[in-house]
Amino acid sequence: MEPDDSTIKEPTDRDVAPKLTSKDEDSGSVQQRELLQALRAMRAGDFTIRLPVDLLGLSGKIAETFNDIVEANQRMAEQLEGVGQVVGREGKTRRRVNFGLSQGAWGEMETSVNTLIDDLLWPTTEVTRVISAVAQGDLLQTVQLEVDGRLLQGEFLRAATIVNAMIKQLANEEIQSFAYMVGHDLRGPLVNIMGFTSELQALRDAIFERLGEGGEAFAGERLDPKAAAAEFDEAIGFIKAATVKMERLINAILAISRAGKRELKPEKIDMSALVKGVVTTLAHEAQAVNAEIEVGTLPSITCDRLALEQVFSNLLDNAVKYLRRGEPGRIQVTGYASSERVIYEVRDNGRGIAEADQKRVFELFRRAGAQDQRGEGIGLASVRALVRRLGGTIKLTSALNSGSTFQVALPRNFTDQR
Amino acid sequence: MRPVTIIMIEDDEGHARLIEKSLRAAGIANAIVVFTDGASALSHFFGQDGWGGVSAGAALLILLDLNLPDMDGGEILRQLKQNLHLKRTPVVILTTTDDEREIQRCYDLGCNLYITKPVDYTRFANAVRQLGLFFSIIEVPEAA
Repeated sequence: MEPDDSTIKEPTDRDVAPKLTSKDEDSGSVQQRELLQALRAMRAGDFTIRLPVDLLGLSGKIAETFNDIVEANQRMAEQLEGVGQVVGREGKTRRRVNFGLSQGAWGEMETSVNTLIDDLLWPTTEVTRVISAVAQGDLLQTVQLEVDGRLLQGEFLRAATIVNAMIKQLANEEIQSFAYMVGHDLRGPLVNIMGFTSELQALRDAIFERLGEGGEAFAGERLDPKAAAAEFDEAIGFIKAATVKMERLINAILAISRAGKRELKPEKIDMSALVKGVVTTLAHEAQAVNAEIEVGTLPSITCDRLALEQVFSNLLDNAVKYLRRGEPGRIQVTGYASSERVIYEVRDNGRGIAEADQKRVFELFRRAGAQDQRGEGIGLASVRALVRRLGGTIKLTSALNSGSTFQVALPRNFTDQR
Repeated sequence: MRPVTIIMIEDDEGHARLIEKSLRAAGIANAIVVFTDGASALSHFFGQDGWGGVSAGAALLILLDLNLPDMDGGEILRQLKQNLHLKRTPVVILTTTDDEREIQRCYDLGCNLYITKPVDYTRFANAVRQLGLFFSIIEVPEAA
């Protein structure tokens, strides 16, 4: 910036520590001379000088008022310097100035300085809001290019446009990978249906060809009736199994889609009671595999009841299902609250999940470890989708053969922002 | 030289059966062993100690699907190709994925052939039959 002549000049020798030499300055009283000296020091930027206030009458009042003014200046200087340091250097965006005086120009000055800080900071605040939402898996947010009539400009506008383009790309990739997975997994059973139908057709052709030759089809060498019946049964069995599997996959996809559309109704929830309720529904399974589920005192939350029931019923169901053989299961649900979030943990001593698989288990139709339990690979994918919809995150800590901990962090007060 | 055993790692039993039928139709009479998940295939190849000594001397031809329920088929391929005993065993990737990057990755990891399963069954059966004809003429080394 070009220096402006109207800005404050460096103090010169003349301004600092004046010596009273001229005749004019000798004429007043001692108090007047002291006041002049103090005023000059203040003009030179020294806000440390104070006048003695133990004087009588008007002089005392003048001294008091002078001290008030110089103190206000000192406070203003400190506040401005402090805010420059904290906001500018340390990046703490919440700090604002407070001159301690709200009358007249002081108040206006305080307001303008704070407005200036707001104007400079709001684009950063806005971008931070969106980036933290994206980091938590919410790809529906975009940086607003205008907030309260203020427009993003220059570098801020460029940054915002790039962030928005990145979010669009991420959302697009997520949809693509979902579509790819669904497409691939639905194609599997279809290949079986088409394949075994073709096999049946080939068999049928062979049979009818022989029948056409005079009804001695089943006496021929090439076509053993028992073997032909077995092939028929096998083909029909695979076709039936494939259609059943396809129906299950389609139902699962529809259920996830429905869950994503259901309106969430926040209410105050006693989490200890909710989780204990879920545990009761699993009591039979837990007993069958010798597992003990312990529910600690959980902080309450304002959230959607059904969604939470689904989340914890999935997590606990998994914990009961994937225990280590021969080891009594110990499953614990604990929780604690921070200022804005509540954190619940479901910990088990089961078979654990290898590090390489820890991302996969949250993907639709993907499973990990020994395939000795029934399942389609849907549970954790829908748990993650639900937790994200509730504005939260889910984290997995695990190692093979040494148990898993699923940590669900949720906002203490859920409000549906869609 | 021992007779070649075909090891098929394919999670869908229906697909495995259809592939077997098409191979038989091409005149392949070799033993075919099917594993429906990665973990059991790995323990078959590498044994309890994980070193692969159990496979020494076996003549194998591996048909590997990439989309397995419990792990990524590429990981099995990597382990096979890095194993002292099994690194020369031919591995044929037979999968539904035709993604360019996936194909490159598998060849980088050392697969010997990459074949995409056609969706259309006639073409699928035809492709596997041709693969069977190919199997009948290739040389398979014994595992070290």
